[in-house]
Amino acid sequence: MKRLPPIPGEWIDRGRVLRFTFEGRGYEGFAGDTITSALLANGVPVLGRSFKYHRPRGVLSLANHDVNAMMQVGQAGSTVPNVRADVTLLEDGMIVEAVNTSGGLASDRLRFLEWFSAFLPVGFYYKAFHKKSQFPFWEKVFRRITGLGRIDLNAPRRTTPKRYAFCDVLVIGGGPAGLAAAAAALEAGARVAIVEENAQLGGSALFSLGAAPPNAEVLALLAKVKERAEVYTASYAAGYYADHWVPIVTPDYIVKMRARAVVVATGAYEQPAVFRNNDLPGVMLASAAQRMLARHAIAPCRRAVVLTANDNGYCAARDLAAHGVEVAAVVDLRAPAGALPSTPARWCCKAMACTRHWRMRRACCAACASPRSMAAMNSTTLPYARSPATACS
Amino acid sequence: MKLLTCPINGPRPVSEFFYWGEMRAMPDPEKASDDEWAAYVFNRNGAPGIKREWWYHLPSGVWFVAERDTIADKVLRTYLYDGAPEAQA
Repeated sequence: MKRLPPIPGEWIDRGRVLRFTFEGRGYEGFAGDTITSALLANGVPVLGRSFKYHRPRGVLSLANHDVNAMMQVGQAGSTVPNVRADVTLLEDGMIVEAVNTSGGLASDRLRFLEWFSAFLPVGFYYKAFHKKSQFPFWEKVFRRITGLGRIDLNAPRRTTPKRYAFCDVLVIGGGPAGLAAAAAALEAGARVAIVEENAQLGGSALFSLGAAPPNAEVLALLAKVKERAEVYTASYAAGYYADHWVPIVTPDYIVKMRARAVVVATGAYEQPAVFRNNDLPGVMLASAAQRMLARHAIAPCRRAVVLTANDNGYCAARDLAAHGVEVAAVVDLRAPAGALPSTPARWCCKAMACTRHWRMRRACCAACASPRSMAAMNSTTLPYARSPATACS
Repeated sequence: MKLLTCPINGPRPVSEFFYWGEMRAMPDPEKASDDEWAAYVFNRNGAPGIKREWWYHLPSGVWFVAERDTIADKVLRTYLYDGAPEAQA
């Protein structure tokens, strides 16, 4: 992973360098980076450990749709747990550590737990240690080795003021659909507020490009909404209560928004393809690769394999190629016309069987022989019966 | 927080209001039997449905009637008491 030359429309300000530490090592990022993107730009592939087996986890969605990148942020003794690194902006002097490790992220002493995964089924500790005499002891042990961040009891009190706001139409989500809704409401003379989780509006219109410039129509909507609507970026709508009462959580305060109508335009969740080891660093959703390219000018890898079950995969492949990433293969799971239903699954099986990557050999594609390869996945419509995991097992 | 529309002051948060129960016809205390009077004093109809209720807007001191659908959790309308015959208890 490396930073690319400047890209038009990127979210980072290369003039302002921010220094931060991650797991005790110093790194540099740019203003506008999120914690995750700054780490990726520095070539840090492992961002966290899974909460039970402590498997290594890298970027998956880069959209706060996964919990791979949760951080403990702050000076020792007064840290904030479970900071969402995918969407939290980097600050100068930030001290960041991965949550739920024992002895650091790289050499987590608890990573051996994975070897015993067959003996630790879901609910195992509740069933095996439910005796009253045993549970208090084991509860402490399990609390320490599983879960997410730890709470610092000495952390200074953070004041989170509340504000009240009112609008006619509240749009949740600043992607193309949200922008269109907001623009239409503005057109009708309504007072509009728009909430976007990321640092800037635009959503997929600005990263899922297919090597083309952003849609001019969407850019016009964006300019109009920015100028005339009340914009909450880096914020999320935390609930939806009676009579359109929506609390908006911004980084510094909460807004109790009373709307007369609410438009939910939160977009689609890209579904990961199901196959063994699809959680390892290096395997990510295609939209994550597109996000890091377009927003933070980071190449996710040198060579990529795109696994897809719909046309969006080709859009991602074009984006990767346009930024100098070699697209070694596009594996399309859809059956070609007239083929037997098992054909795409067999392709996949073959493709996944023979990479030389450590542990990725079962998970990646024959074409990506380089150890720094990636399978970008885009499988929103992937039928599970044809998923690679089913095919390989 | 829910909103309730006061006929005088418009939509206000429900915390500004006070609920005084369902509108019920009072039997004539002179003529009612003991059972009728006891039922009026002690029994309430809890069945869900459309209810006519007394509400009071505390800051401005307005008594009014709200018609509320307790199945759909919706306020159908609110109006000042117009002396119309009360709902049957």
